[in-house]
This record gives sequence, structure tokens and C-alpha cells, in this order.
Amino acid sequence: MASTSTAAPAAPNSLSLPPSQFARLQPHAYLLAHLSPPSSSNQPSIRANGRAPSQFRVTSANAGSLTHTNGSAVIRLGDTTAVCGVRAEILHTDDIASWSVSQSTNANKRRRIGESEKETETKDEEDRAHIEDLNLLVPNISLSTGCAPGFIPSAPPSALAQSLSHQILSLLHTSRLVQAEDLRIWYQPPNLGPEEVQQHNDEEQMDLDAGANEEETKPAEIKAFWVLYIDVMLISLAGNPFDAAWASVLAALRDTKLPKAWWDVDNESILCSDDVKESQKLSLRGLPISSSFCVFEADAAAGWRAVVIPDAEEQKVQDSKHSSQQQKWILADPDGYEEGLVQERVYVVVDKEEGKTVIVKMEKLGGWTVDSEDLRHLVDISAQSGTPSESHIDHEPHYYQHHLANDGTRLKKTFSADLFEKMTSRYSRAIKTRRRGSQVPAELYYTPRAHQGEMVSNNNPASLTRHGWSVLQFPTTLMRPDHPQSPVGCFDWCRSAPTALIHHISLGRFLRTAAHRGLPGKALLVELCRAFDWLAMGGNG
Amino acid sequence: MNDRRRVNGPPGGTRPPVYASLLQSGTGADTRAQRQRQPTDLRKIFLKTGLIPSASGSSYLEFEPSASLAAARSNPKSLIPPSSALKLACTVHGPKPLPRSAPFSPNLVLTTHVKYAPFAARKRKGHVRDSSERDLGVHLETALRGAIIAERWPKSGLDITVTILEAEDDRWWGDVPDSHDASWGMMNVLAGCISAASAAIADAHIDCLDLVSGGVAALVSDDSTDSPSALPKLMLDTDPAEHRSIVSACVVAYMPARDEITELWLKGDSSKVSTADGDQRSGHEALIDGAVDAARGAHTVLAEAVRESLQKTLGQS
Amino acid sequence: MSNQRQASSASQTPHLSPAELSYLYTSLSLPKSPIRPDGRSPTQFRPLTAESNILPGTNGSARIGFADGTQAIVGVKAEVEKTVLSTDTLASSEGGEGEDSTSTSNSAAASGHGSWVQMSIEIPGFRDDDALPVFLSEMMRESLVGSVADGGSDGGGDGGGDGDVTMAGGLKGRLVINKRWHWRLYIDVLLLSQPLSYPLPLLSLTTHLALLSTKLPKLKSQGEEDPFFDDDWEVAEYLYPRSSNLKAAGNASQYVRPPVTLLVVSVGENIIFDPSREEIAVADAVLAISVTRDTEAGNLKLLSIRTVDPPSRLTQPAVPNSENVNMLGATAPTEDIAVLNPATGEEEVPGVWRPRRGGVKRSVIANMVKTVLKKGGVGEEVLEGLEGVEVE
Repeated sequence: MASTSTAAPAAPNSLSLPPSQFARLQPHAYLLAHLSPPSSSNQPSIRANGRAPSQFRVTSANAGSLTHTNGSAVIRLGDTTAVCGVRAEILHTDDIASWSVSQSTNANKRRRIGESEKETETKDEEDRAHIEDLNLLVPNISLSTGCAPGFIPSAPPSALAQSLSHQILSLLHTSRLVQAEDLRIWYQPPNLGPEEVQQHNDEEQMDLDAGANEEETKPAEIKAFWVLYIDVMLISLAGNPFDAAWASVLAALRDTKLPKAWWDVDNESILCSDDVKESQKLSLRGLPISSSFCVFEADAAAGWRAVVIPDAEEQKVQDSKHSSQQQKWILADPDGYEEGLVQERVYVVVDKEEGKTVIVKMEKLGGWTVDSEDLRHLVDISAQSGTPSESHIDHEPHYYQHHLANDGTRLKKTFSADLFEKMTSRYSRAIKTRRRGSQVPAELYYTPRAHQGEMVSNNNPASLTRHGWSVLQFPTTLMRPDHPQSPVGCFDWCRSAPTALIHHISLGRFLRTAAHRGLPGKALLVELCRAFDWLAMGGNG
Repeated sequence: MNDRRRVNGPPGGTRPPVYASLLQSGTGADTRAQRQRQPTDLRKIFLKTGLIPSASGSSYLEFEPSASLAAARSNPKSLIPPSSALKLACTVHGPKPLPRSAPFSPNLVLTTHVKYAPFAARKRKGHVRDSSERDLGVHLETALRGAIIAERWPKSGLDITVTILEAEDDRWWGDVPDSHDASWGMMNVLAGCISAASAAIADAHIDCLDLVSGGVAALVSDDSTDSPSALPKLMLDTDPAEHRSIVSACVVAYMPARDEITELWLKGDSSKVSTADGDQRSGHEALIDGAVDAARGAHTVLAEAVRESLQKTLGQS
Repeated sequence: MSNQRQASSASQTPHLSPAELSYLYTSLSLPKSPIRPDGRSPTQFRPLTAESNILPGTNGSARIGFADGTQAIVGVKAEVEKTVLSTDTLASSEGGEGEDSTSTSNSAAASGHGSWVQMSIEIPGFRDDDALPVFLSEMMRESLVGSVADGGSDGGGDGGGDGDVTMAGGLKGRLVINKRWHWRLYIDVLLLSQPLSYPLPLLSLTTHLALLSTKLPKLKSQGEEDPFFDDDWEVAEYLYPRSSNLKAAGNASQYVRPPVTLLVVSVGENIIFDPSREEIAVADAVLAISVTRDTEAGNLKLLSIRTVDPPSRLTQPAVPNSENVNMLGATAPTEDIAVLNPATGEEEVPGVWRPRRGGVKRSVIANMVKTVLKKGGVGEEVLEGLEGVEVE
């Protein structure tokens, strides 16, 4: 206190505050001041925490330290700490209510489909059915650990915790990380005596093509499944819980060992071997890495004015005046302080498949500022980010140093024609009508296919319409060109007089139905963005 | 009832795996965890403060793995862990103003929450606190309330949350689960909670009479096969997995500077104890003294951790 | 929030002024001869009325009312339940077919399991998952099921179906019917009035009495067959064998008795039993001590000790005259010897109430336990008193 009082007369501006207080009182201005240093000073734009806008925090990982788990990991992402433990328990097929029914239909289906191509398809479908319908993966994230002041320890899971749990669950499902085969416990019944075989055949007389093989060996049957309880305790929360939680889940699953298990006829139960040598690690498909971003805007209301005030020309003039100064920053791996100042987030999960980067999931919600160009850029960053956690676990430090070259070109050809045609036919009418009249006919609102709104953002365009501004929102679902029944992603966008805005993009929600080959690559995103740009132009371009 | 706020597993429920080797009697008898320490030796403790920046005080505590566990870690043979070592994190939020609805309090209002992670114990725990966790919370609160000088923060609240990532076992895994179903491991957990919470409170710069530390002692009859008449022996800082039969155990929260106990929990039959000649103490007195000695040991670790935390804050400012 | 807070402390803090608290403390801490507000001696209990077997629908029940109006009812119900074979008993039954294994005698089938006794406590104004009911039920259940730690003292392998006099294995052993069946005991404790003082002694005494009056129907089946029972209530057997059933009425000490939990407080150097609400409000330390009768030695045996958070820590401090703004200048400079407390660095002025801080000395604990356990001490007195309650 004494020092400030002596210093006060010396300084002409007595209203100066120490940085820490300024940060608390004017968080937005504080971060803005860091990001946009005066052009005269020639300093690079830097965040309040000392990182460059696209810089991730240092990550460290430690796997296999918890005794009572099948697999465990501790991830520290800066000051955010997540502990994940995987516990495997057994689900007997006797305990599954609908097991015998679904099993027989499946078996019939498999028999009828003889073609080899479709067999993989059914197998995939069966994998999916087993993991998703039987709830074999049970991820739960707990924030009630005193990790941050806002969460009451004894209270039920907060909205954030619930949303995180479900995001992890859907990502586990869509990325098809865990193979169903690893979780099945088979039983090979011994060969029956001749009389019994006879009897058996009598029973299955109806089955036409069953006979031949069955006299030699009975088919192996699934007796039980492993259920993986994946529990994440966020011990410390300093921003970006999703990346930390996902990284810990991934690391713990890579660490997970399942004991060898068999059906014991005498005990009529599943027994396991405790021998480490006989246990098996999970064989995971790929290594999807998630990267989260948030968008910090110099003037958060600017986008809103653009939408609400249709005086486009004037606005544009003003915009060009300010164009010398950056208006938004995309911050990678936001900390808690930054998360409190933004409304727009982007989650990108990428993986590498045969040397190519594929997008496993992409989600953008809230806000209006991130355009197609930015999204492309973010995928690049995610692919390069080289999240150190994974390299630590992997000991493959250059795994993610791969740069995205123009790998999209090949796919582009297959995608574009079909996709464009579909979208043109669907939306051009709507858009044209919109241009003619002020009122939109009700039937032109496109009802989304299977679009339930996974994440609800604060600034729903629906609220705009309530204020008398007609803004169209188009939930658009993209189909696979080679497989017209399989959607691969969806995005919401809306259009108003001056601009078109992507409101919510969610890629990967439908990946589970997309077959094993067609994970969307960057090319799809390129297509998506082009389609969007085209739509934004009014469908004439 | 289905918990709709969480992701639920299969509706029919699942069963923990049953290891075939357990079905044959006498498995693992040769690998049975044995106490390698002297009766008065304590396990090493790792205690660090200030790991969680968003909390006003925090600490992380870990017990040194027992010899058998360390061996199993370095050279894994069986999937069944021989014993486990306590690991827990503690956060302190506050002092902060009480909610408007709360009645006036002239003192600092302390709330404690102890929660096991679902994967902390040999048996999977639920997400909702069960009665043993609530019980631990009350014990912890009693232990801390005696140490905190609460009248310096009227109208304020202090939230203490302990998350147990790995708990101590109640017995050796090979023993018949019902041979003694008393939860001895809980007492070790409580002792750890007390020490960790004390460090976290010091890290939050809340005035205390003294650093209160937790200690466990137990009366153990290990060699029941040789001479059944042998009296139980006193051991400090017992790991239940290393003993054949714990007769009684005691945990204290102790303040060395005042030589006072703020929390005492003793259970089991302490009537018989083999003591040195000339030792006139009865069983429970010997047990309490033993637990106090263990707490004194933990106190040295605690003091070191708090000194470290203080140096860090001084270095920062 | 407020409810939680009260729950975590020993009981609701009575709204006593600092002056009252100070007066109470001073009179209770008088060396050698404390003066209690109701004139009792330190070890004297409050008068109570007790009756048992009041609920015809239960296996055993009791009601106790204290003179201050608090009363509690306990009902005990017993059900036959199939013993769940755990993995290990499964194993022994598998392997033991040929060799009639003796190792099984150690398992649940013989020595019983703590989870067979279920206790629920209902206190008006508290939810059943609040801290106070949970803490109380854990405390009482712990001493009940743990009352015999070394159940194998004389081979409990025979399953003890017909109520041995010695009751090997304690309560848990008594609940075993045979290897596949056991009794499950539900103990429902109801506090009928607001918890004026810490309800532990009342609930413990009532539970003890209810268990003493509990009868189980006589088993007619034998060995390992599915159990069936005599429907004649007259021949039903007591859960805890009563001395009236046998000729040797004199030595009651032979019988296993349910434990009792006593509440003991220390004020200054004094030890006080059965504290009233006002007394507990100024206590330095509160201990719950569970004891039972040791069947071998014939004296009392300590089962468990738990500290209870004394509500005196939550009381409002008084302001010494020297610091009181209202009194400024009204009094002459105080002559009191201000003692600087070395630990808190605060002045302790005699006669000015300060919330209690710190814990309890080991010597005080030892003293408390000794008073309970010694021959002819408080513990025996209580057990004898309860034994004397008429059971119809």
C-alpha cells in the first residue's frame, strides 16, 4: 500500500492498476490488449498466458499407475488434470433381455448375404450394434472433485459434466476406436455325440442351409461381453476439459489389458486367468486426437449487428476501414480465463489413416465468425499440433508432424458432382424464394434428418426471427455419394441479407453408419465449405 | 432407478471378473504380501501442495507402494494386485461468503466431502456417495474443526473435497472375503485424508492451531497357525493386505504442538495385547499411543510439504 | 445448507448466550465436584422410562423415553434369506465335495457377515442420508456386528443353529441357519421427538433393549435342508439367550449381550456421563464409547471409540469488556489477568467465553474409558439396569 501511495503522485495517470487487477476487472480488454499490441511496438500478438494464438499447452501423460484398474492414465494439459481409470466387468448374454432374438436374426442375415463385399458391411454393422446397443462402453466424467470453485462436490453432475460424458461417448462410438471383437468372450461347444447331432438337426430342420457344416463342429457362440467402465475424474480444471478428458480416455484404453476369459461349463460361469502373459491389450483403431479452439472477438457484438442491421453497404465500408486491424483471434487449447470470454468454439478430432489425415469429428457451435476458410485452417493446425501427450505415450514423436498437402484433390472428383447436384436441387428453390418474397413459405423449411441438436448454442437464430428478422436456418445433411443412405455430417447455416453464416457444424455424428472406409477427409470439408460458399452466394455461382 | 444424468451401463448389470486361480484354495499363498517393515516403521509419504491453481489450497498425497506391490509393478505376473497404495487429492475452496440463505454463523463453516473414484477400490464404487463415504466425511470434519481457528472468519464457508483415486484394501485378496468384513482400509484412508486436508488448508493460508496429522496403529495377530494363544502385536501404519488378521485398529488426528487428539476412531477388540515387560498400559491405551506415534511421523512429512509450499509463495511474490 | 451444518456438528447448537455458556463451563469444570444444572452426579443418568415388546408385528421392540420428553422406538424384524455364495465359497463347495473340507468353516457360511444386519435411523428434520443419521447408524452397527472379532476361538464350524449358550461368533454367528440360509436383521430406529440433546445414548439404549427382547422362531428342520420353523411363538428362542431361560440365573455375565454406546464428555478435568443439551454445548471433548460384556473374562470389553464433534466449537465468542465499544469508559480498566494463549495468540480472559479449540489429551481419554470399563463402573450399571427391564 505504501509503495503505491508514493508512486501515485509521480504517475500522471492515477488510475493505473496492476496487471492482475486489470485482468480481473476488465478481462476482455486485458486479453484484447495482449492480442493486439500497438502496431508501433512491432510485437507479435500474444495471449495473456504467454502463448501464441495457435500454440497448445505442454501436455504430459502417465499411464498404468492405478492398481485397481485394467488400464489407467493421468493427463496433465497445462494446469488441467484428468485421471482416467478403465474397469472391465462381464456382461453375460443370459443377462441381456433381447439377446437370443437379436442373435438369431443376425445369424440368418449373415447366411443370406453371401457376397463378400456385403459381409464386411454386416460385420461392421454387428460391431456397431454390439458396442452401442449393449452399452459396452460406459464413459462418465466427474467434475465434482473440487476441480474448480463452481462445482458443488455433492451435487449431481453439472450440465457441463453431462455434456462432456456424452461427447466422449459419441466420439467413442463414431470413431469406432474399440473393436467389438476384443470385447467378446466366445465359447466353442464340444462336438456332440451322433445321437445328439441327429436331435439337433431335427430341431433345425427348418434351416435350409444349416446342415452341412454342423455335423463336424458347432458354431462358436458368444457367451459374454466385456463392459468397459471408463471413469474420468477431472482433478483440476483450467480450461479445455474435453481435450484433457479425451486424451486420458485414449491413453487409458491403450493401457487396458483384458484377462483371458472362458466359459466354464462346470461352474456355469465365466472364469478369467490372472496370468499377465495370457491377457490381451485392446487393439484400437487409430489414434484420434482432439483439438479445441475458441474464438476471441475484439467486438463480440459486431457479428450481431451485421445480421440485425441490413444496411449492408454501410457496414462494409466500415469494415474495410477497420480491416487493417484484426477483429478475431482463434485461440488453440483455451485456458479457463479465455473460455470465460468467448462464445464460439470449434472442436476438431483428426486421425491419420494410411498417411492421410481424416476428420473424425468436427463441431462448431455458438457465434458467427468462423468461416469456411478458418475451418480449413483449424484442421491443418489440429493435424500438425502434435499433441505431445500422444507422442509421450507412443514414443513416436513425429507421428503428427505430417503436413496436409493437397491430399483432397482425388476425393474431390468423386464427391463434388453428386453432392453439388443434391444440394442445388434441394436448396436453390428455397433460397430463390427467400430472395423474392419477404415471407418464407412454411413448406420450404427443410426438416432436418436425424438432427437432434447435440449441442445447443446460446445464440440460436430462432431467437432472431422472434425479433422480426427473418433469418433462414438450413440444417443440411451430407450424404455419401457412393452410398446415398449414409449421411456423414450435418451443418446448420443461416442466411440473412448481408452475409451467410455457419451456425453449427457437426461432422462425424453419422460416422457410425458410414462404412469403415469413408471417414471424411479434409476433402470433404473442402467440399462442405465450397457448398456452403455457393449457398451463401444465393445458389447462382 | 436409472440415473439419467450419467451414462449407464447395460441395464441388466454386470459382474466383476472371477479369476480361476481363486477357485483353487491356497493360490498365491507363497506370494502373499508380507510386511517387510519393522512394527514401528512407517511407509514413506509423498505429499505436495498447490497443484490445483483454481483452488485456494490443494494437496496430493500418495503412500509408498508396499514391497510386494512394487515387485508386482516392476515384474508383472498376475493381474491381481497384491496390495494397493493410497492416492488421493484434496482441494480447499474458500473462505468464501456463505450463501444468502444460510443463517448467520460467528465461525467459519466447514463442509467436507470424501468421494472414492469408481475405480479406487477392489470393488467398483458407485457415483453417488455411500454411507461409508459420508461417514469418512464426518470423521474428517471433526478432525479438522478442532484445528482451525474458526472465529477469524465469521459468515464464511470453507469447502474441503477429497477425491480418493486409489484406496487401501481391507484385507489380502486371497483371504476369504468374509473372514473379517470390517473395513480396516477405511482407517488408513481417513488418516491420509486428514494429513492431506491439513496440508491443503495450510496451502490456503487458513489459520490453524497446529498442523493436524493422521496416524494408524493396529493390533495384529499374524502367526495364528503356530500358536493360537499368542497375543496380538502392536504395529504402526498397517497395510491390511499384509496381515492375516487385524484384531483392532485405531486412527487419530493429532496435533503435536499441543499434544492433543482432535479425532479418535478405535474399533475392534483391544483387550489383549502383547506388551513389553513392565508396560502397564492396557490395550486401547497402547493402541492410541501407537497411532499418535504414527501421526507424529506423518507430521514431519506434512511440515516439510508446508514449508515447500510457503517457499513457493514467497518466491512468487 | 443449514441443515447440513447442524447435522455435521454433534447436535443443534442451543442458543445460549456467551455469558450462559461461560457460567455453565465454569460450574461444570469445578475441580473434583462439578455442579450440573440438574443436580446430578457426574456419572448419573437421567431418569428414563423403558418398556419392551411394544410392537406385536416385530420380532422384538422397545421404547425408551427420557424425562426431558425425548423418546425413541426401535423395531427389529428378522427375515430368512438365502446366503449368496461368493466366489470363494463357491470354490470350497466345488473342491470340498470329496474331502469334506474344513477350510469352509472360515467362510461366510459359518461366521456370518456384517451386511446381514441392516440399520436405519430416522430423526425428525433430517433426511436419511444426512450426516447425523449416517454417522449414528454406522457407529451403532459397527459395534453391533464387530462385537466378536475372534469368532474362531472355539470352532464355529458346526453352524450353531440352535442357540448355543455361548453364542460363538457373536451376533453374526447367531444369524447363520445353515450353510445356505441365514437370518437378515432389520433394525429400524425412530426418534419420536426433536433431537434435543445428542440422541446417541437414547438410541443405543433403546436398540439394546429391543435386541434383548428379540425372538426368532424355533428351527424345526435340521442340517443343510431348507429351513422351516415352528409356528408356535411360545417356543421361539431369544436372539440373545436370556438368563431366565436357564437354571444358572446368577451369573448373567456368561451371556453375550448387545453392545451399548455411551456418550461421555469432558469439561475441564471433569468427566460427565449422559450430558444434557446444555452440558454438551460447553464440552471440551465428546466421546462415544461402545462396550459389551466379555464372555470369557466376565468384565466389560471396549468395542469402539469415536470422537464426536463438540458443538462448543460452533458457539459465539464473547467480547471482553476491554474491547466492548458499548462498555467503553463505563468500567474501570480491567483487573483481570489476561492470559495470552500461546497457540492462538489471543487473550483468554477468565469468565469470557471462547469457542473451544483443539482436541483432547490422551490422559483424559484414558480416564474416560477407565470410568466406563472398571468393575462396578458406569458400563456395568447401565447393562444391569437394562437387563432388569421386564420382558413380557
